[in-house]
Amino acid sequence: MKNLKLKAARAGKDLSQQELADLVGVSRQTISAIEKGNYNPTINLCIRICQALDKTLDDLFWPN
Amino acid sequence: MSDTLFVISAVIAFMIIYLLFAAKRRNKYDERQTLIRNRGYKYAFITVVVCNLVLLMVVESFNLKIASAFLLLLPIVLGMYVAAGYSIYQGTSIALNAKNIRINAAVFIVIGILESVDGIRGFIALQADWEDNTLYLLLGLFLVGLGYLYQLFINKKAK
Repeated sequence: MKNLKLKAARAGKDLSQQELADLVGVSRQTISAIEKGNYNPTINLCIRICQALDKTLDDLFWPN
Repeated sequence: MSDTLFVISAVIAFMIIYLLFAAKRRNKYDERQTLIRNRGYKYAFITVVVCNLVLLMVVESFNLKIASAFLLLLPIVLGMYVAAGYSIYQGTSIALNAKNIRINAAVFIVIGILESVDGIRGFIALQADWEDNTLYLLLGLFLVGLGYLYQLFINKKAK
């Protein structure tokens, strides 16, 4: 399932996948895989992404 | 026999040097890359086991005389190619702190070409020397280099 909320939050911060990847310390492909729903990140990575985008876990990773 | 011992000693020496070098500068991979790379190592292990079994069956059944160095190296080299190929295919071959990627790819391609030329030359001349057969195995290094370049191309395109 695609994570459109993450993509929207990243775009809202005007960050590219590479910039977000550098902020949270992962590869660009990993961010791409999370957005496409091809990879389920660990809770630690979820928290780092949320901190980088100033969002909560509910905002980005809780299914509607 | 001395050739076999030389190959084994060279492989052990290379591994020791590599481990010493790797201990100084360790590649960093993120959690997804680590997961996929570990899956690649699992497939490589399965390849080594299956290859060993097939070689054992073939050698025993047909009573073939194959150089021991070739028998020893074939499963290891094939396993290495499976791990490298899977890693490249999944886009996890390049570490987060990787540098000089283009140079690495070029080195792989040049070594692959050089080894392939030697291997094919020996193959055409039908030489049964272990070194020609073994060098032929290194043809895959060429493919690993191409895989690196392909990965770079995909990354550039995605950016």
